[in-house]
Amino acid sequence: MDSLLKVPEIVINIASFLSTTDYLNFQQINKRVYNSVVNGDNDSRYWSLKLTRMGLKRVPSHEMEDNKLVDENNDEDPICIFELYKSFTSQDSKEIFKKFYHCYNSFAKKLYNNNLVNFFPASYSSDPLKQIKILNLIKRYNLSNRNDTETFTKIDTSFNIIRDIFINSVLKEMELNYQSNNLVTVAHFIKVLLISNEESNAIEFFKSKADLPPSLTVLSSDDELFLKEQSQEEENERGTGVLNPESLDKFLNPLRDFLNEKIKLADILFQSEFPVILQFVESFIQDVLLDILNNILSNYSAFLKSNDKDSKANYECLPELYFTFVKKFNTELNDSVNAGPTFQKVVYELLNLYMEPFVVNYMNQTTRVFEALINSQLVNYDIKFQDKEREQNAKIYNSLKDQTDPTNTSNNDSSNNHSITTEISVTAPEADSKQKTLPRSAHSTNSISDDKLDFLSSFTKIFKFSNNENQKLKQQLQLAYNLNLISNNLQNIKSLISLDLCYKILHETSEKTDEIYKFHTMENLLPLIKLRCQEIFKILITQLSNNHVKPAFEKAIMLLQKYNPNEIKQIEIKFDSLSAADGQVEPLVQFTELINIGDIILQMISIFYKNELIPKKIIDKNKDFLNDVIQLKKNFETSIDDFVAEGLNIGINKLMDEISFIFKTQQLPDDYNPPPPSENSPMRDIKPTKCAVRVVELLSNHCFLLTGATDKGTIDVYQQEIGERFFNEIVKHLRKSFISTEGAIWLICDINYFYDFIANKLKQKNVVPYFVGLKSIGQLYIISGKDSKELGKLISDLGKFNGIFTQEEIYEFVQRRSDWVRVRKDVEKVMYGLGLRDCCIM
Amino acid sequence: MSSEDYGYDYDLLFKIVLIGDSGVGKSNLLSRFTKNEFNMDSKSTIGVEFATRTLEIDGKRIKAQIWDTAGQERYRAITSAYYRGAVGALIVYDISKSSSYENCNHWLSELRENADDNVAVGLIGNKSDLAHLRAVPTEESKTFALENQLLFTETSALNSENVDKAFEELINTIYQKVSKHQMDLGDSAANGNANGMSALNGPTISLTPTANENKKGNGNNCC
Repeated sequence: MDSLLKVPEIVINIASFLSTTDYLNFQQINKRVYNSVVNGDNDSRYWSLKLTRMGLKRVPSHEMEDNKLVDENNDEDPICIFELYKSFTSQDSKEIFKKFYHCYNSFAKKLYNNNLVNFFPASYSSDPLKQIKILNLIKRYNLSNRNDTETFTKIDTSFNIIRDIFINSVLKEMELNYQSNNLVTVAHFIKVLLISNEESNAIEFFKSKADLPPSLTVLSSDDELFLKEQSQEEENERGTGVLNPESLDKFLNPLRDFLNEKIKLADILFQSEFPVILQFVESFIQDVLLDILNNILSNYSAFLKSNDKDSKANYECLPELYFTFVKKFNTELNDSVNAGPTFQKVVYELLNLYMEPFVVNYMNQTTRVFEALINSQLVNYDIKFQDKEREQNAKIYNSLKDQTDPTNTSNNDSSNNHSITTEISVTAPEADSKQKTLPRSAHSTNSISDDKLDFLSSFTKIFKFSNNENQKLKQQLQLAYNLNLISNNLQNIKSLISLDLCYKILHETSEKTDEIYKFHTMENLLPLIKLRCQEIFKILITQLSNNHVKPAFEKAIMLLQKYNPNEIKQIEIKFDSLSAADGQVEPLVQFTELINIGDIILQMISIFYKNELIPKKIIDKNKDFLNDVIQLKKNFETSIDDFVAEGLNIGINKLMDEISFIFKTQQLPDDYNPPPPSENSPMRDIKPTKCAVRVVELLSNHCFLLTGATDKGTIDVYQQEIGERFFNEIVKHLRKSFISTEGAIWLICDINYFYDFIANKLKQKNVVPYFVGLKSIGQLYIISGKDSKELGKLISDLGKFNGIFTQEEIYEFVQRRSDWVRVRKDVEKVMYGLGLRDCCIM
Repeated sequence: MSSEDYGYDYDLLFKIVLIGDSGVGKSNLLSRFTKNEFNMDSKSTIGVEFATRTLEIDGKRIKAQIWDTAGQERYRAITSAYYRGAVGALIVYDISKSSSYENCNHWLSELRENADDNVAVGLIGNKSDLAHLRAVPTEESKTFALENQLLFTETSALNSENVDKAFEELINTIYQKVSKHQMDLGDSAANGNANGMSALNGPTISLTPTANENKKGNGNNCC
């Protein structure tokens, strides 16, 4: 044993495992041991290690100057001592430890002996905060005993027991004080818990005081919460919401108040010392609000279903819910000291985080709902339109039938009409069963036909029936029915597209876009928002195009194509409301109205595009020029342009048919080839013929229909086309006329009249030269037959005709001279050098 | 044929032709006389245009049917067609353009060649408003008119000066010729239809039937 002490390493090693008391005793075992081993550096190492275990810092001696500044009076206060001595040097380690020992050894001793009665001295007994601080420091002090496991463990075990007892009594006190509403005291205990690292207990306590009363989450009944279908007026007043705002407020306000109350409580209990409220708000959002959101959505779905609506449109109420939630649980929340100045912002982010999936669902659902909404409106309009048309058709048929049925003319009771209406809708246009009941009466029909026609008796022969044959009556009725239908349908062309409906749909598109775009503050949803807004716009165009505009134009064009003005005029039996306006090609007039409406729709879409999509950056004009939205819009515009072009082309065809018809029927043979004046015959005034006046009237009625209805380019093309085709009609007409030298002046007068219209009214410069050419053609006829040679020269002078006609054409024209046979030889001689007869001789 | 085409809204119908170089203002003279209109940038006439105005002389309604011809028409066959049946003519020149005055001779001889011998002719110096640019002295034209038995007026279609006067003088002259002729005709054709005398019934004014007679009497006057 003695020899062991001779080895310093062993002595030092043994010493390091000794408790303070034992070590001090060991130092005194004998002088040699003391002097050679547990002294000086070895001694201060022992103390330094103890201090280091308690968390103090060892520093080189020269840095320890300021330590002398410590208030020596506080040396013995166990709460302050750890603050006073944070570092030490090896020289003063023993001294410093002495001070700690002095402060804490009494506590350590009690713990070591498990003597826990009156643990704290009287001065601390009423202050739990001081007590917990001391407890915490005792635990730290005990760390210095780690080298002596037995002492350390014993103290530590006892310490844990007393600490548990202490915490439990704190919790008990807290509860009691909370019950008696001594919140300040509770806050004091909370502090104790926080200091003792019992945060979870503090939070638990707070949570237990912040349980949501279950009554607050009971939703109002569906009928109270959701609005039934609104009338138009109501809709304008309160917007297009589906939730009853009062009811929603009534439900959410108590929840908001609850949350505000808890914010206040957290502020009192925790101040800014420990953050609890954010976590609490987050779990409130997660557990309460999301549940509510889900419940409302599923209730709404059920509500829709019970009202025979699309139950999968339930997310339509989400925007309202979202923004109400943000308002109630963010904007209207009190400030929180506990959460700090960023509280509002953080809560907003939390709300967004948790509601984001709902918003995404809404966006995914709403485009489909929107499409269905638009589609149903367009389809409904179409159905109504068709119903109306069918009804009108039936009316026409009945009216026609009444006109041909003498027994029925005065007996127009509605019940009878009704039965026929329904039957007609099935059998028209065949209407065979009806035919059989028609009485044969040529008499009545004849009276109807009286005065209906003032021209073209040859054509009408087909329709007039000389006998009382039932078959003919049947045919006539059928024909009249068909023609009246076409005529009536023409009147309906302009209602094929409803401007009101288009406007409404555009308005709805705008609202839907706004509704979606409102979420743009959720930045990570921005790409989705843009995509959905683009989709809404695409739906608008596709629906408008496919279900409204295209079919309308197609139908209008079909009607235009079917239209034969002469047939319409010949109908002997007419429906009252139908009166073919004279001097107008009715379908062209109607069609231009359609063009006008189409143009307005395009403009509305363009305005929407420019004012809504571009400023909101839903579409970037520069970046997205290849975007399918822009392509779709362009395609729509092009398709309307194509329809317009096609329709106008047909319309122009019809107009030319009409002009050709007037030329054929109104131009009298005497107009350009009057009989030789007799002694008595008065001199004819030089003015345009009646036929020319009618033709120009017809042109005037149609050339300017498009003005204001579409762009200048289209109007120019339309007018030029009319001008050119009209020119061709005149040429055709001239080739069929006979013109005498005496009559030429009226031809010139007519051509001047046409020219005047083209040059001064139509003002299409490209077309004018044709009519200048025509003026020169007019001169071919005024030349006296005696001047036949010069006539030949004139024909050869192509420049004279403005380069419009080839020599062959001019030659054809000159053949329309009434004295052609006489002048031919001379003319040809000049033209070809030899007359044809000369050739024969050779 | 309805009556409006052949209506008797006049007692006498005179065909008058407007001739002269291109650009002297024939069309504007006509539009000033018939419509009281003036078109600053009117284009040159193509072919022939017509306009009418009815005047009253001696209680008779006289309809002047005026043919406005294209000044640049070079086909004699066409111009001669214009002259056919004309009882009056106005040869128009531009007082600021001497070439248009010099060409009056050509127009006059073409007229004499193609129109009725008895045709009444007026010489018109148009654009009198351009006095500061005058190139044709009034006296010279006056002398020319006198020598050729033409009426003479200087007019301005722009400011209306003398336009009505020029036309009215010509129509008056024609009327005088016609009434004198009809008296002659009444004497010589006593056996003719009494109605033929009455202009009211069918006033086909043509001097042709008497042209030969006049030629015999006045043959030396013209050439």
